[in-house]
Amino acid sequence: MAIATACTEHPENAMKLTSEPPIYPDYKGVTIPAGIAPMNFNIDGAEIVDVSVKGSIVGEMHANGEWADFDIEEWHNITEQNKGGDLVFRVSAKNDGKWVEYADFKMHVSNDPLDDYGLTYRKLAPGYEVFSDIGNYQRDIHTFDEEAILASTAVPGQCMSCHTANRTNPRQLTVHLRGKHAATLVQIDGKRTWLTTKTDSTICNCMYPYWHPSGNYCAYSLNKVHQSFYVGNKRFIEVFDDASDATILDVRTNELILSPLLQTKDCETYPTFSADGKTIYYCTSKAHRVPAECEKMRYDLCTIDFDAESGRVGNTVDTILKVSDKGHSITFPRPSYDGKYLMYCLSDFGYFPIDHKESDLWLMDLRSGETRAIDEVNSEDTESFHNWSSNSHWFVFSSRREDGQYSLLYIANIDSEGNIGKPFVMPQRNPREYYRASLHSYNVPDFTLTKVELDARAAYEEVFSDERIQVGIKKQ
Amino acid sequence: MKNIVGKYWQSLLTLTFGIGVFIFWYILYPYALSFQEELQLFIYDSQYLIERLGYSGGVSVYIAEFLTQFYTSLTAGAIILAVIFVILQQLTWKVAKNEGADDRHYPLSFVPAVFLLYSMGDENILLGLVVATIIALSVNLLYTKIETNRWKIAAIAIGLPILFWIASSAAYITVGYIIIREIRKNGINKESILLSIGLIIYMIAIIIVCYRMSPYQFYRVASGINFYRYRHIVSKAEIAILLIFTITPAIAGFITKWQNEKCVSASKNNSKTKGNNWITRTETLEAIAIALCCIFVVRTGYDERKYDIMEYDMLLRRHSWDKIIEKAEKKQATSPTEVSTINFALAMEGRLTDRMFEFYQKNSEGLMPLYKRELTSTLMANEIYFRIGMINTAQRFAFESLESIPNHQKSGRIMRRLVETNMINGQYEVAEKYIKILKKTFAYRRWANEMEGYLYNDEKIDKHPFYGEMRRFRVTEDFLYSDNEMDQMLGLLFMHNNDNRMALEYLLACELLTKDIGHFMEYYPLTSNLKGYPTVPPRSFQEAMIYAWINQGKKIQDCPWPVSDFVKQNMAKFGQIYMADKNSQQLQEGYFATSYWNYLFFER
Repeated sequence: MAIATACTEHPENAMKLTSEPPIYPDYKGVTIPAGIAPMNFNIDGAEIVDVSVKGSIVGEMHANGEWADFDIEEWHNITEQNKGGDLVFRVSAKNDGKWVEYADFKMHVSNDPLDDYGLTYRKLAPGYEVFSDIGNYQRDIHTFDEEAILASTAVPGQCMSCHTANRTNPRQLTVHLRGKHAATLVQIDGKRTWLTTKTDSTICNCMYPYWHPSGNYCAYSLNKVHQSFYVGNKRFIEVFDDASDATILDVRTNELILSPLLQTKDCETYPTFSADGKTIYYCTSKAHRVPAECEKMRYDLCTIDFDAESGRVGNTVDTILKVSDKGHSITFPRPSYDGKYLMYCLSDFGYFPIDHKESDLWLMDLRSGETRAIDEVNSEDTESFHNWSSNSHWFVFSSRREDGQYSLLYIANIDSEGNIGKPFVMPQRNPREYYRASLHSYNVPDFTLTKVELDARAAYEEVFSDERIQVGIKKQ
Repeated sequence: MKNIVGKYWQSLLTLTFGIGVFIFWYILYPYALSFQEELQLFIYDSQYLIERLGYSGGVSVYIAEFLTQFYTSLTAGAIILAVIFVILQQLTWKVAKNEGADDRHYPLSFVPAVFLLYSMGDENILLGLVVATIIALSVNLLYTKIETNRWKIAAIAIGLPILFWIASSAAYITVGYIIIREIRKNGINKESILLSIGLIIYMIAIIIVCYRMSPYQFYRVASGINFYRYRHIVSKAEIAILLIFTITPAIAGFITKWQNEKCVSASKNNSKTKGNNWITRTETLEAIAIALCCIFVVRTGYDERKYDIMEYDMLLRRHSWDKIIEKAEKKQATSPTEVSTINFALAMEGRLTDRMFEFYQKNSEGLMPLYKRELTSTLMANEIYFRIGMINTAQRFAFESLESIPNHQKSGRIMRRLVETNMINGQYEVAEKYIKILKKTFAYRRWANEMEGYLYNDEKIDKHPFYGEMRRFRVTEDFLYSDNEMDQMLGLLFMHNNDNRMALEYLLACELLTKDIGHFMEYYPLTSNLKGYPTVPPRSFQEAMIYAWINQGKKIQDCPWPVSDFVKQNMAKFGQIYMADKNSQQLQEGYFATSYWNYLFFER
C-alpha cells in the first residue's frame, strides 16, 4: 500500500536546480535508435522519481515511481515520432520528503534505424580460469527480454565461446567449445555439424571465427592460448599465445584452407573478411618467449587477398597499419558491412585487450586510410569486443568503465558522415538493481538480425556424444 | 523407573537419537557444517526466491538454503540437523504406523534417518533432498486421511504436480508409498495394478512437462536440481535414500503382519511363550543393529582424509592457529593443502622457522600452494596469499574457488574476501557490488554494513590496523606470477615493505625447503632489516647455517654465525652418525627427527 501511494505521488513545490539529474546509467546526451527498449534510469537516494519526456518534434510521455520506468509502447511511439530530433527529459525527485526539479537533459533519436532483432553475447563471471555459470544469450534490443542460446544449465561443465553469425544473420553460425568435449559447431539453416578442427597440419583447434559474406567460408585463428596472472595491483591477467596461425574453413567440404603466409613462425590471429569478401584482414606479431617477453608481443594489421571463387589465399601480405614500432598493438579488426570503416582495438601490447585498461577503440576510414581513436566512446578503462549492426550504422562494444572489472555492453551510432554519438549502456528495466547486483561480465557481443534458433538440448546430446567430423586439409 | 522407561521408551529413544545427531555434528563433524555454509549464500531478496521457485524442487532447496545459512553458528547448525533428523524419524514412524506397524518395531523407523546420516558423509548431498523428503513423508500422511477413491484420484491429480514442483524427486517416495499402500489394502488385483501403472505414467508425464519448462537436462529434472552439488551427476546415494524412505514403513508394516500371523499360529499350537520370545528377540536385534549402525557404520561414510581437510579449512577460516597445530601434532598431515595450512598457522603464531621441521615437509608447495582447479585447496590457499600481502593472487584464488562451486552457488566467505581484496586495491565500485549483496544476508550483514563505511575512503582504510597494513604490504609493480619463482616473488614482497615479516620468513623457509642453502645464506642477512627480529636465529636457521659452514670444509667451532653450542654439538653428532651409517635409525629419532638436516638428507 505504501508503495502504491508513493508511486502516485507527484512533485509539489519542487525546488528548481540548475544541475542535471544524477541519473544511473548516464544517458544524458546519448544517441539512441527509434524503437530501442525504454531507457529507464534511477536516481540514487531518490524516494520517488517523476519524469516528463517531450519530443522535440512531437509527443510526450510521463513516468512516475521508484525509478524512471517507461511504458514500452509509449516509448516506442515517442522515439519513432522523433527520429532525427531530441527527447527532452524533465526530472523531479523526492529526497528526504522534499521535491527537487533538475535541469532538463536530452537524448538524441537518430535517423539511422536499428532494425536488428537484438544482441547476442556471452555472460560469465569476470574470472580467471574457471567459469561455472557461463552461457551465450540473446537479448531483444527493443524490449527487455533475454534468453539463453546455450548456457551451462543445458551444457554443464563446458566452456564455450560466443557464437558468431554471418554479418549478424544467425542463419549461419559457428561456436567453439573448449574442454573435454571440445568441438567447433557450424550450423547452417538449422543443420548442425560438429567438427574436430585440429589436424596434423595445424597447431590446435579453430578459434575466433569470422564468416565470409558468401557464407561458404569461415576464417578462424589457431591459438595456443596461455594465461598468466599479475601479482601487482594494476593488471590482473595476461592472455598470450605460444603460437598462432590463421586458416579458412570451407564449410561446404569441411576442409581447412592452409596458406604458408598465414602459418608463419610469427603469430597470426583474428582473421576477418572485408565487406566484399576479397580481402582478409588479420593481426600479426613477431613471436617472443612468453610469458617472460609477453610485453614484446605487439600486433600490426595486415591484409592478404582471398578469391572466393577458387578458395585461394593471395601470395602477398600487406601491412596496412604498423603500430608495433610505436609501442602499440592492434587487435579485433572488424570491417563495417558497408565497406566504409574498419574498427579495431589499440592497446600497449598483446592480443587480448580485454584485460588491458588502456585498450581503446579506433576507427579506420577504408576509403581514405585515415585512422583515429574514437574519443566519443572511449573511456579511461577497457574498451573491446566491438561489432557492427547489419546496416553498419550502430556498433556494440564492451567496456569496463563501470567499475574496472565487470564488462557491460554499450551501443553507439555512426551516421552517414561518420559522426559518432555518445554511447549508451544496454537498457534494463531497473538498471541500478540489475547492473549493481549482476555478477556477470558481458563479452563477445554482436548484433543479430533475427532471433537465434539453436536447439540447446539436441546440442547437449551432440556435445557429449563426441561424434565429430574430422576436417580435411586443402593446402595451397 | 522401569515403568517410566517402559512407558516412554519410544520418546526416550527418539530423544537419545536427537542428542546423538546433535553430538555427531557438533562434536564429531562441525567442520562439515562450516563447509556446507561456505558453499552457499542465502540472499534475502525476491530475485533469489523467484530463481528457486522457477524450477522443480526449488521450494525445498530454498528452505534448505535458508536453514543452512545458520550453520555459521555450529551450535545452531547441529540443532537444526538434530531437529530435522528427529522429524524424519517421527514421520517415518507415523507413516509406518499407518501401514500397520506395531509399536515393537519402533526401532525400524530410525533406519532411514541413520542411513541418511551415513550418506551425508558424501558432502555433496545437499539439505534440499532432506527437506524434500520431509515434505514427501508429510504428504504420505495426508494421503492416509483421504478415504474415498474419488477424492484420492482428485488429490493425486492435483497434488502430485504440486508436490513434484516443491519436492522434485522426493515425490517418488509418495508415489511409491501410494502404490504399496493400495496394493497392501486391496491386494494385487486389476484395480491396484491399473492404479499403479496410471500413477507411474502420470509421474513420468509430470517430469516431462517440468523438463519442457526448464533449461535443464531430463536426468537432472528427474533426479532433483540442486539436491546434489554436482549437477551433472545422479548420485546413487540419493536414489538409495529415496528408496529406503519409501520402503521402510512398508517393511515395518509387513513384518508386523507376518509376526502377528506367526503369533496366531503359535497360540494355536499352545506355544504362546515361544511366540512372544521370538518377538522379543526380533525387537532386541533391531535395536542392537541400529545402535551399532549409529556408532560404527555411520562414520565409515565419512572419508577421513576429506574431512581432515575440511577441519583444517574450518580452523583456518576461524583463525584457530593453536588448534591447527594441535591437530597436526596428533596426526601427521602430508597433503600440500594441509601442510601449507600448518605452516601458515605456525607463521601466524611466530613459530614457523622454529618448528616447521617438526612436521612433515615436502617442498615449497607446503608454503605457497600452487593453483589447482579444485575448490577447497584454492579457497584455503587464498588465505595464505592474502595474509602475506599478495592481494591480487589472493583475489584470483578466491575468485577461482567461487567459480569452482559446482552448483553455481555463491559464498559469503569468499565474497567477503573479494570485498577485502577490492577494498585494499581501491576497487571500491566492485567492493560495493559485493557489499550490497552481503547486506542482504543474515550472517554477513553486520560485517557488510561496517565495511560500507570504508568505501571510497582511502584514509580510513590506510588507518585500519589490518587492511592498512595489507595495503602497504602489497606490491605495486606488476609482474607475472610464476610457480617456479616463488622465492623471487617473496623477495619482492619483502623488499617492497621491510615490515612484512611473514614474507621474509616464507622466503627463507622456501629456500630451506628447496634445499637452496646458498640463497638462504644470501637472504638471511635481510632479517637485520626487520624491526624487532630476534638476534638469535630460530632453530632451523641455525641448523642450516652450521650445515652451510661445515659444507665449506670448515670447523664447527670456527663458525662465525650465531649458532648455539647445542646445535653445533648436534651437528657434529649427526655428521658422525651419518658418516658411519647413512641408514642409522638414530638419524630418524629424537632431536634429529625434527631437524633441518633430516629434511635435507632424507626427504626426497
